Amino acid sequence: MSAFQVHEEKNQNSEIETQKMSTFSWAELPKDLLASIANCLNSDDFLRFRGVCKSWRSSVKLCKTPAFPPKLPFPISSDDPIHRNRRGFFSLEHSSFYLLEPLEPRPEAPYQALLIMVKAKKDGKLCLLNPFEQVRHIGFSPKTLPKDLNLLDYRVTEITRAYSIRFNNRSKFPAPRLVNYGADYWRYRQRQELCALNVNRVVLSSTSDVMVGIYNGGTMFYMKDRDRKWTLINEGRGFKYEDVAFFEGKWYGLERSGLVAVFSSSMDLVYTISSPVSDSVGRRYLIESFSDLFMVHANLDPPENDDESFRYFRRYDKESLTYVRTDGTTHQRLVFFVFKLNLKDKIWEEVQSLEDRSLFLGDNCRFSVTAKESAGCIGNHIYYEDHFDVLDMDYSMTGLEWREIRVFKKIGVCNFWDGVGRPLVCFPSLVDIFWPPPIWLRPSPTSESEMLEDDEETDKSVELRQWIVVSDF
Amino acid sequence: MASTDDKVILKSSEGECFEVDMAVASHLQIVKSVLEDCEGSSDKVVSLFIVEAKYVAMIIEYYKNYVELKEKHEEGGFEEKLKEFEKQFLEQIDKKELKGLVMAVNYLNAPALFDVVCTAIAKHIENKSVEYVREYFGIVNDFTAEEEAQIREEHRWAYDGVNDD
Repeated sequence: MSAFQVHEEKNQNSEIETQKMSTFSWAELPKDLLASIANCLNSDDFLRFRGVCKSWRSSVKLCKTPAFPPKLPFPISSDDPIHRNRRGFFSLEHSSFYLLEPLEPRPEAPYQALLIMVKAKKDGKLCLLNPFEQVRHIGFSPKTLPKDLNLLDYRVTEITRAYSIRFNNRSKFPAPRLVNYGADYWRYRQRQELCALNVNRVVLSSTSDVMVGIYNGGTMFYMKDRDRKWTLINEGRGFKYEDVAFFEGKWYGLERSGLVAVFSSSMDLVYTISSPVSDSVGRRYLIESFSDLFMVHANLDPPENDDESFRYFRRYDKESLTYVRTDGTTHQRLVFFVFKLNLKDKIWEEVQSLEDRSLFLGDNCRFSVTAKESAGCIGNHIYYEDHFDVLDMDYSMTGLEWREIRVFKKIGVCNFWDGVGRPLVCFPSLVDIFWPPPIWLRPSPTSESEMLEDDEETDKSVELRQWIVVSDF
Repeated sequence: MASTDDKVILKSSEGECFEVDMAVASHLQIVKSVLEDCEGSSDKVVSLFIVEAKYVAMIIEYYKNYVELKEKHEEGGFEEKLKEFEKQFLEQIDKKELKGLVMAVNYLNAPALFDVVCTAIAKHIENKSVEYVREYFGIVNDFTAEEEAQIREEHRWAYDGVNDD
């Protein structure tokens, strides 16, 4: 026995402290200690842990920091068409979406709110970006936003968080990229590999201990933070998934036909919900909004005048959703339908109005904002990332700068009164929330000449030196 | 046999002293950093002001076994043997002691034992109803009826199908 008592000595002061320590109740344990205990629990136990008492509830945030390792295994499945010398790993990236508003109305400027996304870069620096993937790197520049944001100066609302999985290439040869693939075999192989490396969508459970994603043209997979390996979801019906959502403890996989497969937390297929639409061309999204699950269906309406000069061929996949005329110009008319899940009867019910809420459908994120939360948001609209280039639109009439045109071209808006999707530029009153940065947020003009010298193409994104994380209890 | 240089004395809140091998004490991060701070000093007594003797003894017992098992099973099998010991170790600790122990381990910053104790506490929460957890840990429900109803409604599914005993 190496631990033995050497001598005794009484210490009055420490005795008082000891007494304090042993009279602590389980509710009064230090918060970090409670958080460590909570982190040993799985998602349902974790949720109930937060329901025990106020102290336990405040010790842990609902959004646990995901405990996934920084390097996720590669490839996702051993059957993936990966080049045999390809090496690398996947990494989980997360971004937060905020609404910035002035604390008080400014007499010199009209009221304006700004929707932004904050993302940590590989080196740990935070950057401030446009919330939509496609306009991320053209939206903001260091010239239009300040380097330091003191969040006490603004009203900041955290709207949501989103996750994505990126492939980090560690091979000597480059990772495949989306280029114009011809018919030859080598390019065909590259395209196949690209599909297996591209994770289109990742969703985490409400307690961040399980992630479910879609890749390789509709294959769904998951990982629990404890087992740290990928598992493909095989419901035995050959489903190809378009979107996935976590709702009330279950996973909802949206199949390409519009059917939804519902999985329990142990990833067993529980039941399916039949599609609310039949035989349609378009894209569908799942979005949770204020405790309801919605399916948004963007239907591509065929052209009305189908005479000889208007020959179309239909091209439909995730990247492009469009009718292309024989002369190369495109036609698009997206009509939106929204369905709400009736959980009791397990059916989708069509919704006629979104009331005061607006839905945001990005490639990597889905969220909603109500007019109640922000005066900068007008209800009953759907904002979506637009994969079309609207060629037949004359932008010279709008008086916009090239940078603004690039932003507006990639964002579509549907006013749900008529349900038709149009480019953002058609809605001058809705542009504000994306662009330009409001006057109260702009950096104080430093030197004019410096600004003019900057090459616009070199603007990447705004790096933040300072960012205060907002608590979400 | 280790020389006295490799020993350190840990003093509990009551002033009780424990002589421990350095190999064991170095698992307590707080002890390690204190010793590093006063390197060269002949006085190798570390006061653990707020930790009672009972818990100091428990923590030493755990890490003594940890170190011994690690030495003995260098080739492999260490983890299984440690698991076996941990099970035995936890069996002799009651609810009240578990609370004191977790606070002590948290204070001393001893990662391996901390994980063991947290997992042991979590075991009493897993698959148990909120009412059971409150009773087991003697926690008073300080939510109002409305708050409680709202909390439950928010994550209804998590409250279904759990054990009350």
